[in-house]
Amino acid sequence: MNKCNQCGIYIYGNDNKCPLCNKSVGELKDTYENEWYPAYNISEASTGKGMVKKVYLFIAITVISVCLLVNVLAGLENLWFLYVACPIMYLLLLINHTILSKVHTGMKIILQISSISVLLFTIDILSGFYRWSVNIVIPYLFIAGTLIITVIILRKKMLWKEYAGYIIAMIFLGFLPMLLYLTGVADTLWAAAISALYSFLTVIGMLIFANKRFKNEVTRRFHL
Amino acid sequence: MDRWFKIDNAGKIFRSVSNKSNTSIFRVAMIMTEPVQKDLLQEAVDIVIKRFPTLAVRLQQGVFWDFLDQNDKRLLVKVEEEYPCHPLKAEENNGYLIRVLYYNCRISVEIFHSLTDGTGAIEFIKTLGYQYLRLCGKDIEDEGLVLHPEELPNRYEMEDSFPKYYQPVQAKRQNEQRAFHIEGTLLEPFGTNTTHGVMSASGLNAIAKSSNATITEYLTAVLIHSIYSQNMKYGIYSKPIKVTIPVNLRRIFPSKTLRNFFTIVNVGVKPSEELSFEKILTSVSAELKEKTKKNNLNNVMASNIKLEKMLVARFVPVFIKNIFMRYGFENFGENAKTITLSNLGNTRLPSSMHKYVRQMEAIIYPTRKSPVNCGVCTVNDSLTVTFSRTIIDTGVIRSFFSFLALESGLEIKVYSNKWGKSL
Repeated sequence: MNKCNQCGIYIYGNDNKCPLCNKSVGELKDTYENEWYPAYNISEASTGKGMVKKVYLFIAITVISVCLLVNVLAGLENLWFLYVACPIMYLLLLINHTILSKVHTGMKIILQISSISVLLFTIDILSGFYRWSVNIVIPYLFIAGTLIITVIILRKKMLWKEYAGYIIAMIFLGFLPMLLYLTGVADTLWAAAISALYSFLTVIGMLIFANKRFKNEVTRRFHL
Repeated sequence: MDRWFKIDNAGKIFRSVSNKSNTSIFRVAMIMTEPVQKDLLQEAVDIVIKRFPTLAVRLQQGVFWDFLDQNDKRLLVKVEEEYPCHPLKAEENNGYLIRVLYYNCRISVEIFHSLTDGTGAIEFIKTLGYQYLRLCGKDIEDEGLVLHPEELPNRYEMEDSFPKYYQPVQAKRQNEQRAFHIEGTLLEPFGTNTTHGVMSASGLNAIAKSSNATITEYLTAVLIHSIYSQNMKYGIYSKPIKVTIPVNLRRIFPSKTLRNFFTIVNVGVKPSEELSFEKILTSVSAELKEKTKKNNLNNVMASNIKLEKMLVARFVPVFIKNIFMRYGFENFGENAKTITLSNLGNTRLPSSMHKYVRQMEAIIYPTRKSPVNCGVCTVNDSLTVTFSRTIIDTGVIRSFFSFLALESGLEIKVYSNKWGKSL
């Protein structure tokens, strides 16, 4: 073993440089047996999907900021840049999260349903708020989301545990249109009622067909 | 069986605060005398992981608290390629919050702190090492010192001991003074550099005993002295140097749990011009002995559990709780310490295993405000002190080992993973 007289320590292994003061001491030995750590393969720049995501993010910020600038310079009477910004932000989420990320499919479904709802709600508000988004589209989107996850669970019973949390989340979202109706944001009852009924029936279905597992999952997700 | 576990009191904090610069992942490693064979290690992991159901879990999101769900997928052994304690991507590890790595003669187990503490990790690697050596055809016996891989796990090993041994007392959380923080330029690229120093445990114990101190007290004093001499000696500083020391509560309560069951105490010294090593050691010994008395530890434990048991807090969604826990961790936990020194103690292996195990290592992840941390582990009279750092400056580490080597006369063998441009 080489010794560093300055630090008073012995250098354990192949190295001829003191790990504390970095001074050269003795000769370099080259034996695998005394090698403590691998030679790290360091890539400083982002590669692959990480880089692609950054490129899309940069393009999105560029387009939105250019539109904002033109909108401001042309006068702020009409905020038309939002018509561009909202779909671009949705596209960014679609590409970077739904397509490129490795997150769970259940999470992707919930985020898609939620982001499409927000996108359509914003467009509805910008175009005079005729309430078509909250009255019709959003309730049916939530029904579709619940249906998709239910079908996945029915087709791949092995994946029940993985999707249980997402179906519970979708059931809760299914009652949201009724809340929007009760608070006056939406003014059509029937679509909200259908969405709530669908969520209710999903709960009943779970209790009848997967009683123990569903109860266990609810206990876990809501433990205090 | 479809098991699930609530995250224990200590584990909840780690779940909330972990990120790239504070991974909350620590490592225990066993250095064997021969290079590790991957296939046999994988076989050993397949058997041993069933013996530790609280480690064979995946993290699931809940509404009020997250929880740990049984993971039936295979825990895959991997060759070590990244720096120690780097962030764990659950989706790349079959959902596991634990990774088993090998490199040359080393078997490493890296564990997310929400699952267990150092004691649980040591028990796991002991059993893993035992099973691996058996598969290698070595003639070894467990001698009652290893949790046998074929035994069924008992419920006391899976219990959350915090609520079991917690005694409600009117404990007020003491607002600790802000501690001095070691600062420096971050390593580029970001990562953790580890510097290990191996020495004789009995030699160090004799030196500590001659000063009426334990090994932990002695090393803590050397650490404070090193920080003082490297950072504060020639400046005007008012903030104390404080070392956070995790305390194993199993020594005080008769718990057999393999989950988290520890608390921390902060031991500190205020810098002054006349600060000598002897003064530091006297002060550290007295403070550590006082703070590790049962009553004091129970008070610390009670103040932590009180927050968790608050009825109002229980009904707050977990993402809001996480914000408050992060704030508390940064402002009360991290601000009150300079460095962590975690001594996992002497690992007792069966005598028939001694000749196959050279030494052990414990690596404590650094954090943003505590960029240098220290882990200590002993086996077969070989004590390894491991410094992990995310900053370039090695002054404290150099001073620490030099002091031990030159002042205490110990023979210290040092090696490093060489992460960072400074080396």
